[in-house]
Amino acid sequence: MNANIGTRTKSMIFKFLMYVFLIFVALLVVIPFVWVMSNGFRPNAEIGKFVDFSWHTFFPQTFTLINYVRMFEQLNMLRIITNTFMVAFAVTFGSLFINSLTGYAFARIDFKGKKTIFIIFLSMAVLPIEILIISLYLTIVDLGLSNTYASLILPFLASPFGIFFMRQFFSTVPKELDEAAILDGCGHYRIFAKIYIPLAKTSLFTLGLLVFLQQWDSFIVPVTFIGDESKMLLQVALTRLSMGLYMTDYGVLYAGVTLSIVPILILFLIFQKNIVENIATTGLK
Amino acid sequence: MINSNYRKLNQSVKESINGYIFILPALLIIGVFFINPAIKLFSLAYTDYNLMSGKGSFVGFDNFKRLLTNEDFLNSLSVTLRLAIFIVPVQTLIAMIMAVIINQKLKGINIFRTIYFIPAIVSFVAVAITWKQIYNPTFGLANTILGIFNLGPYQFLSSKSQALVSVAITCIWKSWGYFMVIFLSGLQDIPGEINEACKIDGANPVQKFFYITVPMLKKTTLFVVVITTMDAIKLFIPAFTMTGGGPLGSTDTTVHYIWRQAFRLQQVGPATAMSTVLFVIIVVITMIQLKLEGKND
Repeated sequence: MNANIGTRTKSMIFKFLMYVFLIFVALLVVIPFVWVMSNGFRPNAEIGKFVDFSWHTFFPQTFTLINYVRMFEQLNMLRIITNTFMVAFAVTFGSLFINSLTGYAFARIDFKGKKTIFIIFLSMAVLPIEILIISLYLTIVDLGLSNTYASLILPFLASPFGIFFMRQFFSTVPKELDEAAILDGCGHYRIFAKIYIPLAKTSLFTLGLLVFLQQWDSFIVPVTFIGDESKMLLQVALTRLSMGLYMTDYGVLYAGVTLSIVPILILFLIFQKNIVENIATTGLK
Repeated sequence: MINSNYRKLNQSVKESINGYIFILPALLIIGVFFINPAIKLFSLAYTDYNLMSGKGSFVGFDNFKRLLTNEDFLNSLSVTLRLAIFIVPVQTLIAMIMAVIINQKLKGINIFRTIYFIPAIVSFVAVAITWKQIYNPTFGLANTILGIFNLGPYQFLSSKSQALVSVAITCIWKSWGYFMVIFLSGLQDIPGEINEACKIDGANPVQKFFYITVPMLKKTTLFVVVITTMDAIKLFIPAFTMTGGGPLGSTDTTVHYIWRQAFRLQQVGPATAMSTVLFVIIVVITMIQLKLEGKND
């Protein structure tokens, strides 16, 4: 009896210490965001005022929205956000279409040279964009696409990972389904559109989510390809703001960082199951 | 007979045509935007192509020979290597231990898993800017918090000796949650009987970690180490956004250095030669990975 109580208190203490530790780590993760976001609601005069740790480290003394107002008035932020969403959506939907078409062909159609082409496509995955960026830029210039949205969209409409991902899914679909459809006189186009695409809804959604997140984060490509201010994307605009060509406007910078975090955070909290589970299974972003 | 053979042949030709129609868009994109620049990359490395003039002539191995004595390039390789040496083991260990902790059956544990994953989902630029502000020597949060313990103030990114570690910490802070999730799925593949046996044998949590968990996670660990190494080699945003490669080149990662050579100094020839070197490194790592993976199976 006594020993039982002993182990019970022991496990209670263990649990308590565990929670203390988990909360401590959670604070390490959350505090930088809280700090930067709270700074976005301070007037510029207050930034840097509370150097010593106090309540006001995380809570503004004077709460203001002026930074957000200035961000939209002076920076053309609405345009920048529209650009970012537009490019991200174009790549997401375009690549979903092309990658699933290609994945279907590799999974279900027998054509000459299929294996070789598949291997060539997949081997392109060893060439990260960081390596390819210089010659890709020259290609974009040769095609007359520099400083266009097309330069941000076209190269990403097909990807080795996306093709592989869709092929893997389509390979799991039982063949009897399309055999029955072929007997009914359906061609590949109809089998693809009427049977495979509806079946792949979840996979398409997951892939789309991953592509969208990747596009939202994309930096080296837009910073290289786009010089025109009116076509700038969010991450590049934020970096320029932080480097302060004139003088860093900290208030606007903090507001901008908040603006880049919040939509993704909302997306993540809604779809965290899809995102986390798929990262766990595919191990790829 | 002939007729049916003919029909069969016809059928397979038709099937091939169908296949090519389906892959045509991808064939175009990958051909124009992957294969073509790849060929360009490897051929430009042997020229003195200049971005401004748009001209260049064949110079043989000159670009590669010069790399051997290019101190800034060698420095950037060393910066990248030191980052990898710091980030890979520290981050992998944190991710693994946290995965074991988060794998326990405790009330509300999923909330912590979600929170820990947040930095991984937020853009690297936002994280880099946030941490650049945290590291600000005069009003940054880091000195404020260290001040509670009477430490500092530190210079962080403005100090030649502290900048690289500061950048590495930011990278780890951003990514450990992502790899924790990968370890978590590795842990969930460990059969339940092994955990039961552990309990019966009275193994303590530390013993269990070293004798059961670590060996069982070998495959996952290899995967995580390779991906983390690759990520470290490709680092560009922290150097670009947080430090500009400074102070005095102390955080100038290879990709950042190459990018500046090409797009700020217009030196495409040398820059593509450097990219080629980096590519070879990536291929070697990939080959080592495939070999080790083969051994494990």
